[in-house]
Amino acid sequence: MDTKSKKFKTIFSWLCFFFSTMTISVLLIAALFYGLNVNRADYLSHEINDAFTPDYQNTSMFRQTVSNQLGEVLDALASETEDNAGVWNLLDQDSGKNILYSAGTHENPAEHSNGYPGLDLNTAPLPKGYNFKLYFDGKKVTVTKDGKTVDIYGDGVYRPEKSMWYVPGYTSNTSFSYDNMEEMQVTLLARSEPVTPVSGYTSLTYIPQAQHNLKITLYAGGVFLLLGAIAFMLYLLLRKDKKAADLALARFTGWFWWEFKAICTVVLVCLDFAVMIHAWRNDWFLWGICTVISFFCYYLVVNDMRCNHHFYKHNIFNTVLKNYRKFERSKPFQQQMVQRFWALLASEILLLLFGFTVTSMIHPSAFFVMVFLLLVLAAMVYVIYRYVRRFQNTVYDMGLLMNQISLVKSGDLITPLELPADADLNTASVDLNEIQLGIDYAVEERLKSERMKIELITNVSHDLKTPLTAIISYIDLLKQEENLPDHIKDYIEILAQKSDRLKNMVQDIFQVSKATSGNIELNMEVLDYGKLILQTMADMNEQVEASGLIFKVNIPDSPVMIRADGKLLYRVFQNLIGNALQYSLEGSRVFVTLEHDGKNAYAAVKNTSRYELDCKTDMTERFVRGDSSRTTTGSGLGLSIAKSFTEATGGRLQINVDADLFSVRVDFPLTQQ
Amino acid sequence: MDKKRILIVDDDREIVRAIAILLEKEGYSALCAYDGLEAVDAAMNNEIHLILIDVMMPKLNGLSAVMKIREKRNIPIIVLSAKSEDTDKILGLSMGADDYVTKPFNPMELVARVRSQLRRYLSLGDINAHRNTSEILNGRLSYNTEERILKADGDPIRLTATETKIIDLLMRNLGRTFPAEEIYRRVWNEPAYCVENTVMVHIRRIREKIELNPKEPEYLKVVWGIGYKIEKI
Repeated sequence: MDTKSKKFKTIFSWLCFFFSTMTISVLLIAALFYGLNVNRADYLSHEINDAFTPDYQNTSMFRQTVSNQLGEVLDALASETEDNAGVWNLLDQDSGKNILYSAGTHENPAEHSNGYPGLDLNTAPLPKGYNFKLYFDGKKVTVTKDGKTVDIYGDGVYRPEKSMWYVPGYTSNTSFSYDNMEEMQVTLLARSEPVTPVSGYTSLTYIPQAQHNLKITLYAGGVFLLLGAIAFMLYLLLRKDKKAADLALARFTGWFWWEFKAICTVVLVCLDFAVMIHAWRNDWFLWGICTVISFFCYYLVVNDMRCNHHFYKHNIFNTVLKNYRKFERSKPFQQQMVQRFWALLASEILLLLFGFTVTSMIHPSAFFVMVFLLLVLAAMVYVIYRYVRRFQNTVYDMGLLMNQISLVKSGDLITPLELPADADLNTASVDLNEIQLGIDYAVEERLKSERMKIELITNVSHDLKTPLTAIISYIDLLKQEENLPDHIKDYIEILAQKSDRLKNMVQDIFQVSKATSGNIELNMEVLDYGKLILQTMADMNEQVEASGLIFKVNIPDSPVMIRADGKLLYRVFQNLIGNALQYSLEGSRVFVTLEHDGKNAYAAVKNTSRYELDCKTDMTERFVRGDSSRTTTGSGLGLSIAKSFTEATGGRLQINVDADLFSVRVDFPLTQQ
Repeated sequence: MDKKRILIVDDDREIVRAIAILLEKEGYSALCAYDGLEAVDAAMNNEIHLILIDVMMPKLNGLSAVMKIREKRNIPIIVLSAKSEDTDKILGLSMGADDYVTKPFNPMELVARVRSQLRRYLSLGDINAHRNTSEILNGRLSYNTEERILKADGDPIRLTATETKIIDLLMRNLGRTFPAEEIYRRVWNEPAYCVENTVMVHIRRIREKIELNPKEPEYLKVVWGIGYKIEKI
């Protein structure tokens, strides 16, 4: 119900709009036509005046008719020939005798008459039924109505726009000039009410009829104006509903192809011109119908252009293209590109063939052929233009895509690439955006887990250190007890050793975790690689001497400058030499060497292992130890620390196992000073 | 001389007890607190000569407590912490602590640090009284260039002739790094060749005499790959 009434309201409001604009515009056009011509405007005022004058003798039509009658009589008098007999005949034949006349000279005033032959109507009393007398004495006209003389000359100047009597006697008028006018004498009498003649003809009887018709016309115009105004008001009230109607109409018209609409409009314009030329003032009904229909059609066109933003885009070409794209989309990109080129070629050839076929089929008119071929040529150029534009867009998108790829590579994981939905590379961009999101998510996850790992390490190390502190403190207290049996003292010593080892391990774990997660503070400086190794050796001198191993140190005298963190690098060699001390075969030689080739410095620690080495184990893995039984001291982190510290400070650590020969090489690039 | 009273603060009661026993054995009297607020209360209301305080504690963290105590008291404060990062140490020292010991610590080292801080606080507190142009002061160390005597916490340290020469060189040039060759040339007055070991042996011996923890020296340091120096503190 509601939707129905809404629909009704919509249609009603639109009809109101249409009706009111039609009426108002037609009336406006009429007003414009009259307004353009001043005389016409006066006519209109006379006509309106005439329509509402009850006495027909007071109308301008009456004045005009009687003036004409007088003119004709004067013409007939001036040239008494056979040709003018028609004037008298016409007046005589009117059986109603609406106009009585007597015309002649002063000597013979009733030479011609239709009433009473020989009677001078001027001097004779008015017959019954007649109340109007016009008397021309050869110079001037005297009008007597109901016995009263009417002043017809005014100031003596003839003004047709004021609907004055068109008669001789004005001071400014020269149109009445007959040789013997002075001798003429004419009297015309008119009935107070015109009588429709049984036979013959008089124009006077048409006056009331015309008055009646005019009245009806004016009333109808007024009614239409009123209705139009009301409709306009209604439209103003319901203009929102009218808008809905406009939209509905636009939706309907938008369904047609643009070309169809254009042709229709052109045809309509031509038709309108034809109708205007043919039917204007000839066939008012046809003209009116045509005006209403074409007004409606033009309204549709304008409305379509106003409401449909893509007015031009819905055309045959685009429809064909859209369907081609739908067909194309299912294929892979490379095929799309190649096929599109072939499609372009095919469509060009088809258009050319079509143009030639059509022009050869119809009779050859040079003008038509030229216009048609020009149209075909334009279509061909347009097809190429569209192809090139599409190609350009695709190439541009490729550039965007490549930029985006390099952006993603350089770490921008936030900005997505937005290509239009119908772009050839749209799927690629969408995929890339998803990859970007995925990477972003993965990186985020990794950072989170990395952060959690570091936190975990910090917390665990704190949690381990606190109880360890207590253990060490109490072991120390125990150590200070004096009156304990010897075996208890042994136990305490073992506890002290193991707790010390535990302490070292905790510290090592903490450090290696920090180094591998890249969370280590670096203090890079230029230093002498050789001196650093010597210092480390000197620092560990006691252990070296106690080990019974023979250290063969080969380091160049000249400084080997590298850039590294000295403390970290010291830890690296401390671990490497410590490792050699721990795992070397007793009495064997340990080689510590440093070489450089002008670009890089290579330090190496080589020793012969006491245990059989497994080549497959990665020695730098955390907690991997040369002896799988893990009986000896050491945290198993030595090489791991060495490797991660070397890498943290910008070097490279390589481990080589050849049978029992275990060698570690630590490379650093030389620094030019 | 009455017993010096030391305030020990840690949320781990066993550690507090162990330290208390340790210090009482050394002849100090111990006062215990188990969180930051108690520590501040105890420090304000008792006559205390030194504070040992943990950082990570409930209610009020150690560093905040240190700052509060510092507003009123000028006693030595040693921070005990499981945080061993350099940044943590710098933060602790700049908040007003006098020393920073990382857990797990060596009990003997802790006692040595306590003794060192107390001696400086009680007998060497006034720098100006002992001001002498021939005296070079650096943290716990003071070196008299005329008498060629090195003191740590006011106690003279026995050094051999070579060690004294090395100390003389390094103390006169605090903070400057000397390569082993230069030290050798200037101390031994001989051309230097493969001297790293020789110098290092002496350095290590000096460390054992002057450092509280010779394995982690505070004063006599190796600059790896360059040389040796005494840190300017």
